[in-house]
Amino acid sequence: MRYALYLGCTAPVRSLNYERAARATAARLGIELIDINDFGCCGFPLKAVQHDAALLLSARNLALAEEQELNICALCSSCTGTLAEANHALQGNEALRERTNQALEAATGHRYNGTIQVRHFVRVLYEQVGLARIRQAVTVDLSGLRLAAHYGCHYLKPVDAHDRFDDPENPRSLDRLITVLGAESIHYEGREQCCGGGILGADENTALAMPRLKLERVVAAGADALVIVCPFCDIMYELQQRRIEKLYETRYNMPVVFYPQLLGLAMGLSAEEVGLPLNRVKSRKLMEIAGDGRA
Amino acid sequence: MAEPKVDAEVVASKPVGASLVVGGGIAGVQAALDLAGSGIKVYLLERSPTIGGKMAQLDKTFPTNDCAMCIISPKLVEAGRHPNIEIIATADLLKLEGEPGDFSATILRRPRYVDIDKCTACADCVAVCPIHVPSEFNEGLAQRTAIFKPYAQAIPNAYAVTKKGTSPCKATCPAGTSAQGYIALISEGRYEEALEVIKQYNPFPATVGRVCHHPCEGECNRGKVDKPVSICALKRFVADTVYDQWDAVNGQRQKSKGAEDQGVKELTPFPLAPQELPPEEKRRIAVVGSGPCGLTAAYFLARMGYQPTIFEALPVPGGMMRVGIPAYRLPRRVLRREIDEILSLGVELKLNHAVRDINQLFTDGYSAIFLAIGAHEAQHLAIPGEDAKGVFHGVPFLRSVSLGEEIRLGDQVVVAGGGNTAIDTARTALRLGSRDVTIIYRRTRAEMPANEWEIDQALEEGIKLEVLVQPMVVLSDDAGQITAVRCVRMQLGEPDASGRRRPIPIDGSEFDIPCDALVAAVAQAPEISFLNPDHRLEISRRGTFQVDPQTLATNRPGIFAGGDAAAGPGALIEAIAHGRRGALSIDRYLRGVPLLAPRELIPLPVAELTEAEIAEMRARGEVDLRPREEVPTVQPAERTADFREVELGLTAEQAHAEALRCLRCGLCSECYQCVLACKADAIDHQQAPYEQELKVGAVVLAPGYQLFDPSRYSALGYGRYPNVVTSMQFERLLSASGPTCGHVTRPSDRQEPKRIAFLQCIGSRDREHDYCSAVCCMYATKEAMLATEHIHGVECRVFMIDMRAFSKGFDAYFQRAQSQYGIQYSRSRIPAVAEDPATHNLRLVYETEDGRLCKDEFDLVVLSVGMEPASEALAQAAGIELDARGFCQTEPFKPVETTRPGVFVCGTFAEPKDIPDSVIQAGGAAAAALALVGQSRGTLVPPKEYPPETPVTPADEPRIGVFICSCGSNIAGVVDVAAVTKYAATLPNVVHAENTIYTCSADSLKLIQERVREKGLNRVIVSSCTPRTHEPIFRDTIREVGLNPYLFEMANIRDQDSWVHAKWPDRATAKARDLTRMAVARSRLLGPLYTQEQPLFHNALVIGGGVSGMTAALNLAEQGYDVTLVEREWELGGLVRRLHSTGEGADPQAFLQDLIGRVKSHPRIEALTGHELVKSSGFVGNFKTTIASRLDPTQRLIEHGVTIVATGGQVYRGRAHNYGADSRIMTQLDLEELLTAISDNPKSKIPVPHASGGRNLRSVVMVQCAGPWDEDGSDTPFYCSRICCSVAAKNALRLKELNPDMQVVVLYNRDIRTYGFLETLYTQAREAGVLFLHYQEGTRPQIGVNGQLQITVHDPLLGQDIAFNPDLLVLSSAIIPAEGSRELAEMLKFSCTLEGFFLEAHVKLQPVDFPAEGLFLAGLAHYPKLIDEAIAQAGAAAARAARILSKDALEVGGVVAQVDASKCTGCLTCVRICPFGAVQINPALTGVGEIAGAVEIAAAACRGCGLCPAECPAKAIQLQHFRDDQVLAKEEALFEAIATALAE
Repeated sequence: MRYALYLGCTAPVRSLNYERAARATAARLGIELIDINDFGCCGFPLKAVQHDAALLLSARNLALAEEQELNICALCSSCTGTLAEANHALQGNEALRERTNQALEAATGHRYNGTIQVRHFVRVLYEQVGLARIRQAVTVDLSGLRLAAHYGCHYLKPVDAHDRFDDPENPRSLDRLITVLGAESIHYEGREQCCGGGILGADENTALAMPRLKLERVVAAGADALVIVCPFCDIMYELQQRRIEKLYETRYNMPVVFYPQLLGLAMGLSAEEVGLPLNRVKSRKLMEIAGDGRA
Repeated sequence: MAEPKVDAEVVASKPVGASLVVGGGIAGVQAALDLAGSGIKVYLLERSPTIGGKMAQLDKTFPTNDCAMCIISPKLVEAGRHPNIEIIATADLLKLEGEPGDFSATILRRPRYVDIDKCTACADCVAVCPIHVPSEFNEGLAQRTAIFKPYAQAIPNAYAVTKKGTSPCKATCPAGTSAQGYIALISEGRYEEALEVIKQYNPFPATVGRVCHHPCEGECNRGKVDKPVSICALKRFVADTVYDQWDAVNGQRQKSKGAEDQGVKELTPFPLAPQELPPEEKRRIAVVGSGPCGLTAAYFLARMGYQPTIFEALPVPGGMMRVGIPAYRLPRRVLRREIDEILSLGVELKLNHAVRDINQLFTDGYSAIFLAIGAHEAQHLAIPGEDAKGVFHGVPFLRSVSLGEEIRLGDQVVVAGGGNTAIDTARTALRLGSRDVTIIYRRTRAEMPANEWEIDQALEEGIKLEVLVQPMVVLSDDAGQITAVRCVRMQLGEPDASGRRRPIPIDGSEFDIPCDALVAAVAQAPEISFLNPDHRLEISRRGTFQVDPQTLATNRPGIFAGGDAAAGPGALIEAIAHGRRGALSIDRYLRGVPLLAPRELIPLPVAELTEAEIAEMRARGEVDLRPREEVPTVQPAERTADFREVELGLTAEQAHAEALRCLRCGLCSECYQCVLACKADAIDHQQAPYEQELKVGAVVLAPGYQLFDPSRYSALGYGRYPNVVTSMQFERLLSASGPTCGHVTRPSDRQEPKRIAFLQCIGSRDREHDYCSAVCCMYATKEAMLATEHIHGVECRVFMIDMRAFSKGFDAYFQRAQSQYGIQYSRSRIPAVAEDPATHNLRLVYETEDGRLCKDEFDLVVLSVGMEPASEALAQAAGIELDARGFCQTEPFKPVETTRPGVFVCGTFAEPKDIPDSVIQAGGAAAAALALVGQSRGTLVPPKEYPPETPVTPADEPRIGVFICSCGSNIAGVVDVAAVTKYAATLPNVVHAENTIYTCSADSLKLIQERVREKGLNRVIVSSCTPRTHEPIFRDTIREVGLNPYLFEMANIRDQDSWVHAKWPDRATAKARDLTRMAVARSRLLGPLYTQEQPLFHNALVIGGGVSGMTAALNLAEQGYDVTLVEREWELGGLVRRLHSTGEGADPQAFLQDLIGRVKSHPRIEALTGHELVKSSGFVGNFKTTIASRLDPTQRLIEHGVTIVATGGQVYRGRAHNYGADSRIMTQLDLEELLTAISDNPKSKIPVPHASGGRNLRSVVMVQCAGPWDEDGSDTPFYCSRICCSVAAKNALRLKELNPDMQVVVLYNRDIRTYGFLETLYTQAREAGVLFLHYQEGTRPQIGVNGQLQITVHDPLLGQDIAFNPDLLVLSSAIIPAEGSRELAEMLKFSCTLEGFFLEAHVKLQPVDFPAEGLFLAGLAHYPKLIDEAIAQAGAAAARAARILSKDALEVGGVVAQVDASKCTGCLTCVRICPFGAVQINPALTGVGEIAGAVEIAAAACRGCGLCPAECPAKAIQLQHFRDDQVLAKEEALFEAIATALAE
């Protein structure tokens, strides 16, 4: 299981805990993550403005991975979605691929032949590693933890770009990945709702109302933590949590963890190894599980 | 496509007079009844255990709100009782070969495991079945047992067993023990029964429960969830528990006494016991060897009624159980108890009795011999020094210890070997006092054959294990006493023949283990050499008896061998399995039946559960997660001191928890509790599937549909949110016989929902389904209406795209739902449902018609799921083609023909449709089949024979039997039926009164017959429902026991009592008493009535020469009946003459010309055009109709047996839309002709009527629903003409084809009602750019014709008026009844609907019959419909008519009016009032006061309506069966109570 690791811009800067946990768990589960230093922007910020330019950026990254004969594994859902969507378009439309390649070749000298795949890291865990192997790797019992899964948008959609690997209306992959660790994945209202990150730049008040609603509901459902798979969602739920609390004069104190962090803890990794100290909202329960509860 | 029409010449000889109908839903049942009614033998094939289909699941039916069960049940009973119909349930069609008229159908009959002929449906089996699964009939909302009958009125009225397969535990168990069965019983605390289950396979449950290697647990599906169920420990638990209970109750056991005295409960007879034993002299059996195999064989033989004798060489019985397994694993008392129990069954045991001469046993009178001598010969190590003192061998060593011989091993002991014998030896050595015990084994621990847990226990006890070590030499001292074992270390090489890696010695690794004793426990083998050499038995290379592995038969008849002696050394449970197998084989051998049962030859598959299935079971809450209960053991330090038992049993709590972990993989667990409970001996778990061949002339396919599974659209939350249910689930919630007894509650909290949302088009009209399911709009409307009746103050909202209320009475029903029931309708399609996790309420977001977004919360969401085809396999088997949607492929104008000649289709398999349309099409299919095989009618069916009638005269004392029906909860839920029954018994002349749950069910009918015989009843009364549906069944029931059918009386305590007085149970009970008393009073005066055979004319009159009339005529002619076809117009063809295209692009004119040609040329049809009816009289079988030519005054009298009315309809040409005022305003029919003119002359420009000045056509507006209701001051209510939407879409498409740039607008203010596959036309039209504009409901378009045409409508979405200036305005005009249809109705004496269409006998189930017999209805005269629908209906009418024409004679009389001429004054009142023209003055008679002439009533013409006796001023007429004295007796009985009360 070898993948080109696509870090993107946000994960290595704002969510180092995510990257640490991903690398640590991948190593233990036999996923070889290879860094390609030349990787550039996935194209997401340009997509709404200049679609072809965004496609070009994506194609460049795809071509770089293809040259190494590697499939791409990405941590960020936006990167995954953008690259996978571009890949899907380029693979399914020869004319488009030819057009894009002409531009790409002229600008960078690379060509993309449409031979690789793009997957989210969590999807790799779900499909390539599989629940059975994860079950075997679990050494620390997480039973008693009540966790709220948040899938976000681009992890699943558009469905065709993601090979319909999970049902976008009623996704199960993250729930299964949580329960296989022994924890409980709880039912709460509005699971499918977006974090609001996409409109943060345009309308802050609306954007913050969205994570607020989610936090309200997750707190009401009695969750110990919100489990996410995307650094953008983390910005909304964790980084903005204090702001939302101030704005709405309330207190949630809802820990937000990346799935690989949870997985690492269940596999017996230390709090340090999964980057738990970097999480802003502390979870006593998770620290206890990591054996650092008294520290 | 091949021409499906079959000429008589093609069929070589006479066709087979039988038909196969596939599918037992309402369509299949109707087709079967129509065929059977014409004397054709019918095989009615049904997949499930019962006929009735989806209709039986419904609560009520639209638009009449009749109880679905109440109207279908009589049909099902009729099919079940029909002498010409053979219902074959749980069967599939596999193959259809042959030609039309002579098919050979191969069917697969799947086992039901219940013999239908024996089952009395008493439900005793249900009470004992421990397996509960979701009920399919109740759509998973309730549980049922594994043995079940879907619903009370099911036909065939018999139970069936659901088997998914053999559970892995049973499949893995060498003895085939139904582990799932005893576990299920343990979970219910039914320990004795659980033990019985084990003992059906194994007489040693306590023994095996201790020492079994339990391979079952390795295969247990629960292991996929967490860990396997502790099956073995549960077996031990239940055996120990029950033995303790019995012993406690009965005291200490004594060997000398009989079984019952010994505290051994008499077990219920072995379910596999033979019905008949061989004669006495053949019952003695010799069993050689008293090990587990021999004892088991003897046990089963004894239970089957044989006298086995066991010969045992040793001084103790038990074989390896006694002398091989050490006591710390198997305490001796446990084994002794189980052996004693076997002996107590009468088994003779001869100890110290080695058999040498087998032949002598036959000489001694044994009829069969079972050899079970085991494998007691130890194998040697074959190494130097093995003969030293202190060297022992495993099996003999353990035997010596077990027999109490004193053996000293010394302190240091080496045991060589890796099997259970080695472990047992080592642990025994420890218990004999040795301190240092070492096991040496030449491979690694992983390869050791010993049980894993036994090795663990040995190590816990301090035994050392040296692996990869092989003994080389035994070293001994001078005295020959062992001192050490020289060993060599090994390494593993390549795998050997056994698949294990071969151990290879490592050079130079020799070492010595000093020891006082070596026990070689490496292997054992059978010892056969002691037998006299003349046994003539084949011996295998391994030294075992050569046997058939399945039957255990040796090469010599009568000699069987099993256990280690046949299979080589094996596990205990394998030996026991052989013992049972041997007993079964010996029994079958002696009875001379095949040694293998059907099920043994065709075993069930192993029931595997996938991860997904397990996840689903967890989601449904059927599996609760809890850890496996582990078996506790005694601490190692304590246990090695002596031979005390190491493993302890489970506690009752542990056992219960453990049993609940079982996943019930096989569904039926084969616990055989039902077999034991069934008094009728009807259950047979040994049934296996088999194929059968049927010879038939024609085939009708009616397999129906499957409901769309909404969990596929996950956004709707079905399967996730408990309060999202399907419409069928909601039907079950509404049903009185449903899971909540009609009390509508929501699944999450059993509370009444106060707000219900219905979401339409779930699985219809979407990307995956380009069709409309045609029924959902109406059933949702019905369900919403019923919900308001069930729940006080409930609010129902239906979210829909269009309301497709397209058929007879539908729109009025829809209007009523809104105006009377307050149902709200929103035009919005809901894409997703959200749930509030706290309340489980459901949140919907929808758009209102003016574009606002609304959020709303509901307690319950009902998904109106659509129909999907589900018969791919059937299509393949029948050799027919499916269309792209997966429905049956049919061609235009051939609605009941498949792509294979002689194979016909009806019901929803052809296209989604409602019940009446299915019934109509079923009749059409039956007619088509009759055209093929009708000439062979009567060849394969025996006439129904009744016993001679018991004479009953007025002088005979009435002996009345009263049956009070509960009708499930329909009556019993309100009326105190027990009290009414008790009361009935007190009434005069009542000799018997009884309450029955469903009196109409087949078992109750049987019961009535029994009671008539046993109590000598001469009157029978049923207090139940309505005579309208049920009287014929009850009459026939008593006729079958020799009572005249008119000695039956019925009281309606349901429709007229429990239903209407549901809120006053006390008063309803009092009324039920009154009604029953009245019935009793009248029945005393009932007398027998008789019918006479009346000859009939075997020809038909068909009125109307359109497509319907011609089709009906042609069908009857093809069946061999003469037909007179009368048409008023000068030409045949009717409305279709003006049609030039269909939605599918077919050519109606070509079809019409062909049809007319065939009608005109058929020798049996006389087609009279330009003729009209003048007069009609007569009655069924003997109609006399006068017709007249419109040209000349000559009249003709036609005598005929039946009449089919197909007078058609006409297009409305009202002035409401300025029709006729301007040539640019036309009907769709006019447009058709215009378009045809264009197509015929494609090069010309489209000619536009002159008013537009000759421009080419650029713009067309169509207006839907143009009808008489649009006229000012009109009081005609709106009704939907059914076809106009699709005609508009079709013509709009044609316009777009001619000119894609043309503006085509369809204005509608109701809905676009393109039901079924017509939806495709609507979609295509929209894709082609046709604009469908919905304007404000309740308004009319404003039409201006000054110069330019101008049409203005108000668009509510835009909030403004929109105006069009088209070249043409096309009115989608209503179909109205044909001219003169009211007059015709009057002449033929039947009724019309409000709109003027003819009224059929029953909207749902008799859509082509008139109330009067012999008159049938088809085509537009019934209601507007498409050509194909009219063709099907014409066939249905012909099929119904053929039921009469096919009879040799009619039975007339019975309930008819009779005149007492001596009282007749000849006033003519009766002559004038009789609706049937049955009364005439006969001048030959003498009336009152000797006047000449009195009235006379023709019995055959009289329908017994009762008008004339009521009107006759002289009381000269009496209606038989309703005579004045009979009616007055009822009245008197009614007022008797009041009179008594007043008197007091």
